Amino acid sequence: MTAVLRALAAAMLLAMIQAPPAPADEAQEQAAVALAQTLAGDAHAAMTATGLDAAARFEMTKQAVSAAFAFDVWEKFLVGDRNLDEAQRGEFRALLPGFLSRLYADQLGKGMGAAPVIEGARTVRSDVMVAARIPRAAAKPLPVEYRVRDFEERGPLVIDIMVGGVSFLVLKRDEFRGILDRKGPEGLLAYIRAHAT
Amino acid sequence: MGGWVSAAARFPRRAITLVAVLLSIAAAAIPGLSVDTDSSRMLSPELPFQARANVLNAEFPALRDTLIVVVRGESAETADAVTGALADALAPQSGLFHRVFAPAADPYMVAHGLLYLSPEELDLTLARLSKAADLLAMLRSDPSLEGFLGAVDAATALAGAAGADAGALAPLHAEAAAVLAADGQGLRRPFRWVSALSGGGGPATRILMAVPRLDFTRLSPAAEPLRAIRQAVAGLDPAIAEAVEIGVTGEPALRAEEMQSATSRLPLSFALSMLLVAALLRLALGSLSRAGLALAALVVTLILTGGFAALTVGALNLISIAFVVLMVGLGIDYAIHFIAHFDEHHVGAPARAAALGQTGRAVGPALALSAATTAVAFLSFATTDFVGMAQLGLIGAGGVVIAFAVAMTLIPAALTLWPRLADGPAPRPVRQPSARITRPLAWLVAAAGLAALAVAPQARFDADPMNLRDPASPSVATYRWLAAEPELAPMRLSLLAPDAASAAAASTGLSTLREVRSAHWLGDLVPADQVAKLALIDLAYPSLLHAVEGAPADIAGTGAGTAGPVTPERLAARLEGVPGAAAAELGAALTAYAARRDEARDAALAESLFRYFPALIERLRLQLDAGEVTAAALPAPLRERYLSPSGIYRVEIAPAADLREPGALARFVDAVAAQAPGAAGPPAQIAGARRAVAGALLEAAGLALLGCALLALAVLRDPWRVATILLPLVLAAGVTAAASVLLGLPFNYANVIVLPLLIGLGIDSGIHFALRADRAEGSVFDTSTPRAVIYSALTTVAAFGTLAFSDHPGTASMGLLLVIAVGAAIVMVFGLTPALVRLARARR
Repeated sequence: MTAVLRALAAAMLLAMIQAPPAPADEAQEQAAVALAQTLAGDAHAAMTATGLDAAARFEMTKQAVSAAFAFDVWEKFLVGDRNLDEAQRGEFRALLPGFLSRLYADQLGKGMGAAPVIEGARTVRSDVMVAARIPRAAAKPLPVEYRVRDFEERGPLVIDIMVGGVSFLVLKRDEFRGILDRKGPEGLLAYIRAHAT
Repeated sequence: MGGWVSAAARFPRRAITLVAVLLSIAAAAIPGLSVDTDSSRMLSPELPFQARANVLNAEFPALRDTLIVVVRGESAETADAVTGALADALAPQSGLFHRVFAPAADPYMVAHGLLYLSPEELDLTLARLSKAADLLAMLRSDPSLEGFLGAVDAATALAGAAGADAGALAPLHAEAAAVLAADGQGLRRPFRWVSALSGGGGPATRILMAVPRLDFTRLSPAAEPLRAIRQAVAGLDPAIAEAVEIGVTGEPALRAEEMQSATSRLPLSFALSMLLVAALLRLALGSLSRAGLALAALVVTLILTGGFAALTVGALNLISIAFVVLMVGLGIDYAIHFIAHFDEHHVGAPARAAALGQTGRAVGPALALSAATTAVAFLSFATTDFVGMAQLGLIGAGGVVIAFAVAMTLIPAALTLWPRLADGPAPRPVRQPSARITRPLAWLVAAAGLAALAVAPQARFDADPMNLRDPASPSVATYRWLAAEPELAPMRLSLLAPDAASAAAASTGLSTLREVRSAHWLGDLVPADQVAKLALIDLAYPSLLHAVEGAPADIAGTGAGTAGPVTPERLAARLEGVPGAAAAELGAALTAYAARRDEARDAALAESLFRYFPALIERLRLQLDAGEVTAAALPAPLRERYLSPSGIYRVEIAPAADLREPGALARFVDAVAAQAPGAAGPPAQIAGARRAVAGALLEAAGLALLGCALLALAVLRDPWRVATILLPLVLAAGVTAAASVLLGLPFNYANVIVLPLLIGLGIDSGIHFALRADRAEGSVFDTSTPRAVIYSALTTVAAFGTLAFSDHPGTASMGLLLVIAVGAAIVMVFGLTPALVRLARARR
C-alpha cells in the first residue's frame, strides 16, 4: 500500500514538474475563452437553426445566454440604484434574460454569415476580455469582446459585451435611466416586455 | 517765548548748528524706518478678530501668501493647456516658489476627477465616453484631416445604421462646422473636444496656486516670483496663449501693484505740489527767498519728524506713512504765522532783533498753545486699538512740537543771519466783509454745520483693502474675475478645529446657513459614494482602454472610413440624409471647404482639429488609474490648505452672496459668527475693522476734543474763548463726515488721516483767529492773521489736493477729502469765529 502511495505521489510530482499548472490569469483566460466559445457557438446555432420557428430559435438563444450571463450583475448596473419596488424589481429580474437574449440576437446575430471566431483573450483588471469576430454576410466582420468575470463557485460568466469599445451595459444603463426619468418604472417594464421575446 | 526767539536771534549760528546736529541724528535714523504695507496689521493684534486671524495665518501661512494665476479660456481645453504649461514652467523653479499647484493639471486630480462628479454626471460622462470610444480610437490611429473626416463619416454611418438618436452626434457635427467656419474666415479655431463629446463646454476658468518665496529685503517682496510668472506667460506657445486671458492676483501681487500704483505718479504730483506751494508762499511772504526759508523750515521739520518716527515706531504702516502729509499741512503753519507776525512788528521798526523779540512774545503763546492742543489731539489717537492711527497720532504729536520748535528757532536765526530775508512786504489786511454779510453768513454757516452734524452719523469706514486699490491694475482686475465666480470667490472665512470630527460637525452645521454657499473641510475633498462610483468607472474601463489604446473597429460594417480616404465632399454627401441643423451646417461647411482647400490649408485645419486631442487622450489615460481617494493620498498642496502640520483642521466657509456688497459681508460674518464664533479670515477682519475703527475714531475724537478743551481752558481760563476755538472745528468735522456720506466717499485706511489733520489744522486756525480777534483792538481782519490762516490752508490744499487725481482710489479719496476738510475748516473759522468772539466778549 505504501509503495502504491509512493508511486502515486511520485507520479503526481512528476506530472507537476513536467506540466506546471497555468498561472491564475491564464487559467481564467482559458475558462473565459471556453465560456465565450460556448456562448457564441450555442447562440449562433440557435439563431441559424433550420426547421425551427422564430420563437423556438429565440428560446434556444435565451438558453445559451442564460447559461453564460451573470444576470445579477446586469441587474445591479442597469437598475440597482433606481427606485423600483419589490414587485417591479421581481418582474424586471424575470424579464431580463429575455431582454438580453433579444439584445444579443439583434446586435450580434443580424447578417451573421458564419459562426463567430474567438481570437484571443486578455486580462483587464480582474476580468477577462475575450475577443471575437462575427463574420457578416454583407459587411466586414463585427469585432466583439465578451467581458467575463470569474465568480469562483458559479464559475466564469459574461458581465458585459463590447462592440468597438462600446459597452452594452453602459449603453443600456444610460438608455434605462432616460426611460425611468421620463416614464418611471412602469414605463421601463413596458419597454422591456416589448423587447424580451 | 520772546526770550527763546531773542536768544535764537542773538546766537543765530549756534541755533543753526543745534538744528544741524539734530538733523544729522535724524538723517542717520531715517534709513532704519521700514514700511509695512499689510493693512490687516493696522489694528491691534489683541482685538479678538485679529487674534483669530493671526492664529489662522500662523497655522496656514499659504492661505495669505499665495500668488493665484487665473487662466480664462474660450474652452476647457485651452485653459487646461495653458495652466498645465505654466505649471510645468514654474514648478521647477524651487528657488522662487515653495509650491506650485494647478488642480486641473495635477496628475492625481485628473486621474481621480471622475470621482468628484455627482452620480448622475458620472453616468452621463461614462455613457458618452463609451459611445465615443471607437471614434476616439479612430482619431488616435490617424490624426490627420483625412483621419478626422473618416472618423466622423464612420460615426455618422454607424448612428444611421443603428437608428441612434439623431441628436447624439449633433455636438460633434456642430463643433466640426465651427472649426470649418472659422477657417473660412481665415481664423484658427481649435476643435473643442469637451463640447464635441458632451454638448457642454464653453468658456472655462482655471487657477494655478504658487506659494512664492518672499524676499522681505526688497520693497516688493514678491518681485522675483512675479517676474518668473510673467516670463512663463511670455514663453507660452502663442497659438494657445492668444486664446486665453491670464491674470495674477493674490495678496503678494496685490501688494506689489498697490505700492506701484500708489507711487507711480508721486514724483509728478510732488513736483506739482511743490511748485504750487512755492508760488503760494511767494504770494504770502513777499519774496522767493522768504518762501524758500519757510520751505526750508518745513523740510527740516519733515526730516526731524522722520527721525523721531524711526526712533519711536520703527516701522510705518499705510496710515502712519502719511505723517508727511500731516506735517506739510501743519508744519508750514508755524513758519507762515511767525513770518507774518514778524512783518507786522518789523514794519516801521528797523531794529530787527527787537521786532523778533516782539514777534516771539506776540505769536509765541498762540503757536505754543496750538502746538500743545494739536499734540494732545494727536496723542488721543495713540491710545486706540487702531494701530495705524495710533502711530500717526504719536508721530504727529511729536511732529507739531518739532515744527513749533523749528519755527521758533530756525526762522529768527535765519532772519538775523540773512538780513534780506527780514525785508518783507507791509501786512495787507484781508478785505473785511460788511456787517450785512457777516451776520447772515454766520447763521448760514452755523445752520449748514448743524445740518451736516445730523448727516454725519451715517458716515462709515470701509475697511476692505480691495477698495483702496486701483481697479484698473491687473491684480485687482484678476481678483474681480474670481470674485464674480461664486465657486472661486476668494473672500472666505475659516474655522479651525482640533480634530476631524469637530471639523466635520462644524462643516455640516455651517452648510445649513442661508448665508453660506458651502462649508468644506478635508473630509469633503474625499469624494462620496466612492464604492459605487468606482464600480461604474470599472464598468466603463474597457471603453476607456479602447479609446486610449485599442484598435479602431468598423462597427457599422459599411466600409465607412475604410473605402479610401474620406473627402470633404464624401462626408458632406453622407450628412445629406442626416436630420438636424448641425449636420446640415457641417455639410455646407464641408462643401465650402472643398472649394478652397489646398495642401497648406489642409495641414492648418488638421492642426486646429487635433491641437488638443493628445491632451484629451492623456487625460483619459490618467483616468484609467482612478482608484480610491483618501485624505492622506490627496496632493500635499491641497491637503495642507485644510490640515496644518500641527494637526489643526480648517473648515473653509464660502459665502452665498457677493461680498463686494458691504451689507452682504456683514450678514455673512454675523451669521457664521453666531454659529461658529471662532471663524476668522478677511471678511471677519473687514467687518471687525469697520467696527473697531469706527469706535476708535469716535473715542479718539472725543478724547481729542476733551483734551484740547481742558488744555485751552487751563491756558485761557475762559470757557467762552475755548468754545470759540472748538465749535467751528466740530462743525467742520461734521461737514467733512457729511460730505463723505453725500459723495459716497467712505472713510478708509488712506483718507482717514484727514480727521487728525482737520483737528490739528482746525485747532491751529481757531486759536490764531480767536486769540487775535480777542486781542485786536479793531477787527481781526485788519491783522496779518486771516491772511496767514488762508495761506496756511491753501498750502495744505496745494500740497495734497493734487492727490485727488491719483490712479490709486485710496490716495485719490485722501486728496479729495482733505480738500473738503480744509475748506470746511476755513469756512467755519472765517464764518463763525468773529461772531463767536463778539458773543464771548458780550458774555464777559
